[in-house]
Amino acid sequence: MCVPFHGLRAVATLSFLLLLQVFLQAQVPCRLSGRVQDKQSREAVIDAAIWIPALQKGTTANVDGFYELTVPSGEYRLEISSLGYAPIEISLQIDKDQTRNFFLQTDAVLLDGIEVKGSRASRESQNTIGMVSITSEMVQKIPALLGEPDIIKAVQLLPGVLMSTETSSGFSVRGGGLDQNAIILDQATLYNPTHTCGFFSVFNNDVVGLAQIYKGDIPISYGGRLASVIDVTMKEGDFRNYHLDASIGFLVAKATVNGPIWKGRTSFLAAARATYFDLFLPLAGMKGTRLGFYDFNAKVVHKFANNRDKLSLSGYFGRDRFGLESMDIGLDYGNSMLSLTWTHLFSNRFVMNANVHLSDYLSYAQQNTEGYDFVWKTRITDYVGKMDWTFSPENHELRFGFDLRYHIYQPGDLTVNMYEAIGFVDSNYNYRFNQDHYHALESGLYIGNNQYIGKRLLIKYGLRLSTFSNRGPDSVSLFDASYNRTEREYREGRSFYHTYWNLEPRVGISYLFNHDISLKFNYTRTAQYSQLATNSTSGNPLDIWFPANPFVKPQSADMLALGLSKSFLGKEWELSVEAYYKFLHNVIDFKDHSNVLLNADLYGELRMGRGWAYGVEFYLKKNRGIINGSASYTFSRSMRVIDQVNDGEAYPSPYDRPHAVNILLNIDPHPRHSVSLNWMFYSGQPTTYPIGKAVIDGQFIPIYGKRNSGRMENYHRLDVSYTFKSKPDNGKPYRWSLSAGLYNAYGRKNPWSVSFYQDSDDPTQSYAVKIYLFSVVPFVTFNLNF
Amino acid sequence: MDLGTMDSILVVDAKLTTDTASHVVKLNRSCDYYDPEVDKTTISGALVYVQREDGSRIDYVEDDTMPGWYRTAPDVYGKIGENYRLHIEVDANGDGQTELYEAESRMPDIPPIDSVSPLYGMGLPPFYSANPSRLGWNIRIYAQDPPTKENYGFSFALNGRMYFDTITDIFCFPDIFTSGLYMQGLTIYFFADEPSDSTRVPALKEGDSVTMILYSFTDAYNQYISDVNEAVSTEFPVYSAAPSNVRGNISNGAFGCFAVYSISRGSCIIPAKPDSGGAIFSGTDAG
Repeated sequence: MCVPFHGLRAVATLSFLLLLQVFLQAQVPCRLSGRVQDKQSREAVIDAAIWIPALQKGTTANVDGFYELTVPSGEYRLEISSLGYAPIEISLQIDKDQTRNFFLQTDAVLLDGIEVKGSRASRESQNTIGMVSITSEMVQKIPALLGEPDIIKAVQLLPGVLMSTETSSGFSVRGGGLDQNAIILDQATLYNPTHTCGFFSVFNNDVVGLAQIYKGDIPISYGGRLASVIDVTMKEGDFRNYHLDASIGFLVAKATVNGPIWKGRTSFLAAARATYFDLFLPLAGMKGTRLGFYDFNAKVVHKFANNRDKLSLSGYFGRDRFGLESMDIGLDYGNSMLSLTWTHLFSNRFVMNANVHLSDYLSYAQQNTEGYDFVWKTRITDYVGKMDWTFSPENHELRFGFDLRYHIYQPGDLTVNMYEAIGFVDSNYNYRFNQDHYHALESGLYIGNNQYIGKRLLIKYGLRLSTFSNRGPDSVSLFDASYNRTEREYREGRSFYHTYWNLEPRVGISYLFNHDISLKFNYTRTAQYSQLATNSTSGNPLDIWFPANPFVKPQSADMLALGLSKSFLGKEWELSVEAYYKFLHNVIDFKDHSNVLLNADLYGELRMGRGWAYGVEFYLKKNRGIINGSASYTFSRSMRVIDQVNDGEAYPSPYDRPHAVNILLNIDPHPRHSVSLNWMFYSGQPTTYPIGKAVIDGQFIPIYGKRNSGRMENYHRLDVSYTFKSKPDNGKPYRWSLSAGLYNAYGRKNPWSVSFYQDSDDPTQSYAVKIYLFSVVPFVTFNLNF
Repeated sequence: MDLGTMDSILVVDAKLTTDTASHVVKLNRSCDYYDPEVDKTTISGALVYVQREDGSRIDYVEDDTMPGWYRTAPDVYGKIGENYRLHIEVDANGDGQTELYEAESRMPDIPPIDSVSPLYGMGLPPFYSANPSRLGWNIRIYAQDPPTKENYGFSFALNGRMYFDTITDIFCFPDIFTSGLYMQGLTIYFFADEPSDSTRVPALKEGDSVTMILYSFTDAYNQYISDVNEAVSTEFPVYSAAPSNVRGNISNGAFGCFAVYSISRGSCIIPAKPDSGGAIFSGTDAG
């Protein structure tokens, strides 16, 4: 087939291809349609791939498990597969329109010794560079710190993704900042994805249905973040049977219950998780200390009798609590969200998704003592409405929609009350300090198409128009060239006073050569209007979200990516190489001695410039077999140039870790026994070290070199875990599993920070001190499922 | 751990206060971070003076016994509101050429301390937590904080001996909470009966003489103190920004600060302890 490649320059020409394709669709003999469902729960298997190798053609099931394919009549072998499920192969004579439903078994059944031959097609990712899907079953296989499986930790194992610091749930994708990742749960953005400052993430693995991770080729339906999207869908409850899962780990206890409310129509899922290590703190001499978190997930899904409408309501509430009871001082933070989605099928080929949700992140510090109290808080609240339509005629997937997000930012409010009793001042004394609250409306309008041309070529083209409007009342500080505030403009009214807009084209092309080799190329533009002010590299509860405004331009990124992938031996092995180059515009960093807490002139602490990042990622994966797993190597750089930082010279961003290796090995020799090994290596984190010292009053004062010109030691560690399970067919109403393992098995003392000290015994000497968080950490977890 | 090297720069520790005294300017060279020979960094033979607004000079003359220390005559004092210009001529980088280093500062205003009073009991907020198991003397001050912005610092003298008067020990406190208010018995230092190593505050006994020393710093010196303390304190990546160099006010790339600041004092004598439980929150002032 002759394809007008040269026409693929601008979006305008793409409509031509659409028309062309309508014309090319003349020969349409038989329609095959149906539904893909979970064999046990009869839940829809979202994104299941239906693939016909003989035709090199396939489709994916929609959110309700429905699929539809048009094929010439004949006898075909079909492959049906989905992540977390055992793939199946079926031979089918298709000579008329017909409906076939498929039932998939969860992957765990493979361990029972049933040999199922087949392939994992995952056609949906054919032209998505750096798109990965992860299910909770896959996360379960990765050795986790303290035995708590965590999807964010699994994401951190992917090539191009770097853990920010030891244990942290913060991560950098292809050189981007921690705040450049959209972390989404059932469509709602979670602004702080961590618990206990990063030891755990907000995602309870027992309720994670599917997580889709986009490392750069971000679909047009997503906006507002530069680097990546992690879109997590909460599991739906079982529509037929009740289940109870409970587990108790080293630090975390959790329980999940799900089942039907109205059999076959309405289901629910509810999960609670909490740490209980506070109980042991008094044993360690830490009496009256609060330290830990809890969270709740819930979801109710109703399917209407017409099989065309589905309503789902899901919610999340999580809180971290730190504090000292003796001083009545505490710091609490957490996310909450409530999301309502209506899915309507006009036909199996035309689906509408409507969503409204509320998302809130609050961090709150307080102290109450006799005669004195203070409260500090920072908060961001989103009210969002979204509409999305997917129309999938033969060989197309046309998607369009819009989203409207109303943000309320509260960067920092402080209230201090002091009473007479302390003798501080004459009478009751009240002090308030409020950083301006900011209101803004962010919107996105998008249309795009994935178009299959013939058996081998897929092109993708789409455009997103995003806008961001600041609304009063607030104030905008204006700064001179040396960032001294010259004046502050007050916006009294409640009207929108400033708007930015960005056109974000996203295009891609992929071609499947013989021998299962595919070549892909993508260009993606993204824009980001909200960012995080932080005084750290790892993220913490004192971080503050703040919006673009007339002074701070929105950040944007242009990324070019080229990928080559090949599968071997019936797709048992997959090898991919991806290279990217990213241009970053209006990059934000903070000046020396920046102060973002309770600073009325927060914007004066910012410095803006540009950046670039590039890298090449090698990834080898073995999907099946007694020994399976993955290995990756990434070479990447991430640099910035910002006036007034580092004297305007280029410097490495905090996420510049040139070499990264990740190896994950699962050994499943027996249905009841499995072993997992995970080894990772990162180049040391860039940091700023002293190169000299001045002596004042006998005290050494370091004189620092260029920003991030030093590098900590390389990071590497090995995690090992072993899982022993009950017999799969134990004839009892429950199953159990016991996992034990070692985090950092060979006790590598990875630097978490390096500090410099003057020797107190010999004040003429100075020395460096490396702080590491963990040597070997053993863990045990017991799981019970009913 | 290899940290690299840098060319030496001039390090200035220069002071002029409202006290009538011999004021000092100390000149040094910076050295590599691990260099142990810090006592060999002093710089002699510099021309150092401070120029008043009227053009007259306060000369700082190098001490015969302490190389690198330049002193004024013992009867010199700075005046509130007056502007001072520091002038240093020296070859600090060792290239055989004399460089000129300058700084300018205006003497800040300071309120008098009306009185200082001891109160026995728990440490009092906001600077101390009220812990009933830890008793001692609150040393509290009474003073009118003017409505303008001041940068306060405190140290104290116990029976004539100075405590906490080095740059990393001075107790700095911004006046955002007190600006324009009367400080009615604000506890600045709490002297616990059982001193802890972490605070290094000694215990008091009956008859001790405690002098509170209040400083009022310029913005530049206050920032310098804050930067120095940030630079020498322990850093954790979770709660620290990129390390940054200390900002001073000396020209020509020198490290350090020309510190021009005012001082006021107030004293009290420690009385006998009240009977146990008597005055933990008595609300009556001893002074």
